[in-house]
Parts: sequence; structure tokens; C-alpha cells
Amino acid sequence: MNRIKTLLIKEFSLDFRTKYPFYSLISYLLSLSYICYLSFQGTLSLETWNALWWIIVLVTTTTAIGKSFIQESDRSIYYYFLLRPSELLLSKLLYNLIYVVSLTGLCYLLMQLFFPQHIANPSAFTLNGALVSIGLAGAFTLISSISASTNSQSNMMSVLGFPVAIPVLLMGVTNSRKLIAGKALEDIQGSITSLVSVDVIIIALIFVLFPYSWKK
Amino acid sequence: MEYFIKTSWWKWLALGLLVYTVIGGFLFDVPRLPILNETVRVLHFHVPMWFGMILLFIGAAIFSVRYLLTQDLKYDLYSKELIETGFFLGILGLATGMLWANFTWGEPWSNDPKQNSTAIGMLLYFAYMILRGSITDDHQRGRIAAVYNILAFFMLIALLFIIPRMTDSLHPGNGGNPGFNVYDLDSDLRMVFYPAILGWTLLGLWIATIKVRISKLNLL
Repeated sequence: MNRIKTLLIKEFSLDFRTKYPFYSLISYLLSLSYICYLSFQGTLSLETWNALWWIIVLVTTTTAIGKSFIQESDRSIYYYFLLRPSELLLSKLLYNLIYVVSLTGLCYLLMQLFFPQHIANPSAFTLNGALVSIGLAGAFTLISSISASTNSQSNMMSVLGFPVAIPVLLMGVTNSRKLIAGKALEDIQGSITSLVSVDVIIIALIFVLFPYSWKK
Repeated sequence: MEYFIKTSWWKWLALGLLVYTVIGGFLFDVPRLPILNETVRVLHFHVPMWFGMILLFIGAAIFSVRYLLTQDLKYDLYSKELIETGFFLGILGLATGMLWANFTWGEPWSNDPKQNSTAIGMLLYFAYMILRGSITDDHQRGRIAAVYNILAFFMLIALLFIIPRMTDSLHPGNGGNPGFNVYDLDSDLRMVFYPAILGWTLLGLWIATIKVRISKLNLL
């Protein structure tokens, strides 16, 4: 537990010291949503709003998580001696999860700023967003460790990440569209349950598979 | 897989079953149904090709697991060839399905959840082939490809068996459309359908074993 805490603190202090990865993500979000604002001229249907929000989240989180293992390449030799794979994975997963959740939230605020949209059921909407974030963070963490060992690291992240993320994203987009339209949580209980089960499958899989993708 | 490379009786079985499928599929009596009419015969081509694809992908996932456990490169080769053949069968299944949809649903692509899942599933395995191309070291490629393949396989399961269940599909057997059991009261279709599954799967396996042998020769 202590090691995981130390690793997490290391990640955040690295971000705090270098600063540019964090600011680049913010500028990414700002420019993407501003482009949408300018090109749609303030008129968005509910479906388009929802789709745009998730597409911006998808693109930004791919960029955000893509760096998580690529920047470790010179340090990983120490990790082999010091850490169990599950410890490293858990710390990365938590770190990425914090990033994905905050990016999703920030993107939501920006979309609300540019295109005000009434959310009928905020608590269920947040729950759905959190579940999708968990799935995205889990899948992208493994994909990032896979793409770190290929020759074209940043390209592979989106090539491999998008198809893997689609099942989670598809369920999330459908749920949030229904929730914005005014459905209650009980109406979409079935799809929330399947979203949870897909999340569980992803998390379980990455803990099994990560040791193999990490070893050199 | 070694067993299938060495023996040949199942190739004769595949040949026999496919000849039976083509003759039986086109000539046997089929139930008269509104809209479907004679197009119900696509059941013997489109659906079994998909079954074959899924069975080949299951085989590929099993070989990926075995590769991770043993680090033996032959399992990596098997899993790669099975995926490429399965991908080919998947495209054939998609093409025959679109042809059928053009007659029954009015257009080749009608935003059906199963069709969309199919397209994404193909994308998943397309990414697998791109991934293999981007790594040069044999053992590293085997390991990384195996890890991705297992993840992709579970996502395919989610795509094909969870998501389409959540929404209505135009496919027979979904969303209030009557399925196989209702259409096929006298089991005429089943007599061809089940052999067709085995036939198309074995044909895929046949192609995969030939590809394995070619790859092994190229290594020499």
C-alpha cells in the first residue's frame, strides 16, 4: 500500500514539476470544445450534445493516458527489481482514473458553458459517467503499456485504443442520452448492470494480462 | 492444431459437408415466409460463416493463452493465422449479410446494432494485424499480440453478445422478430444449417493450416 502511495505521489509531483502535459490536455479540451462551439453556432440537439461530449472525452483521454507508460521507459528497469506488477498497475490505474474522471468532468463543464443543456437526472448521469470513466481508464492503461513496446507508440495508442473502448463507450453514450432525455435510473437498470459487468471484466483482465505486457 | 496439420480425413469431411450445404442450401424445400421468401437460404451461408469466425477466434484466444504460458512461438503463429482466416470469414459473412439485408431490409446498411457491432469487431482484429506489423522482435511481438488478442476477444464477446441484447435488432430472433424456432417448424432448415456450421468452420481451419505451413516454410 505504501509503495502504491509513493508511486502515486511520484506521478503527481512529476506532473506538477513538468506542467506541460497537464496544460497541453487543458488546451486540447479548450480548443476541441471551442471548435465545436464555433462550427455548430450554439444550436445542438440533445443527441449531438451527448455524442460530442463523449467524442471529446475519448480523444482527450487517449492522449492523456497514452503517455503513462511511454514516459517510464528509462525507469522501468528499476521497477523490475522493486515492484510487483500488480502494484505498478494499481498505481497507474488510480492515477489514470483520476485523470479520466477530471477530464470528463471538465469537458462536461465546458460543454455546459458553450451549449447549456438541462440534465434531467444528475445523480444517475454522474454514476453513468463514472462507470464509463472506470472502463476507459482500465482499458487504456493496458493499451498504453502495450503501445509503449511498439515502434510507433503514439499512433498505436489510438489505433488499438479506439476499438477496445467502443463497447464501454457505446453503452455509456446510450445511457447518458436516455438520462438527459428524462429517463429514470430504473428504466436503464439493465444497461447499467451490463456496463458494470464490462468494467469488472476489463479490470480483471488487465490485472491478469499486465504482467505479460510489462516484462521485456 | 498439430493434429489437424498432420491428418486429412477432416478435409474430406469439410468438402463433403460444403457440397451438401451448397446443394441442400439451394435446392431443398424452405418454409414460405412473408418478406423472407427464398432469401431464408442465406441462413446456410451468412450465419455459419459467423459461427466459423467466432470458433476460429476462440481457438486463437486459446493459443494466445498457451503462448503466454509457454513462450513457444508456434502458438503465436497458430493464433495469428487463425485470426487472419477468421477475419476473412467475418468479411464474407458481412458481405453475404449485406446482400441479404439489401433484399429484406431495403438497404445494405441499416444501422442495425448487430451490424454495427460487427463493424467494430472487425476493427478490433484489424488493429491486431496493425499491432503485429509494428513490432520487429519475434518474442516481444508474440507476447504483446497475445495480450492484445485476449483483451480483444473479451471485447468481441461484449460486442456480440451483450450490446445487441440491450437494443432492438432487425435480425430474425430479436426485437419481436420471430426467430429460427418459429420459422423452422418442420426442421428442414436445421438439416442443412448444422452441417453448414461444421463445414464452414472446417474450411476456415483448412485455410489456416495451409497458411501455417506456408509461414513455416518462409521461416526456413
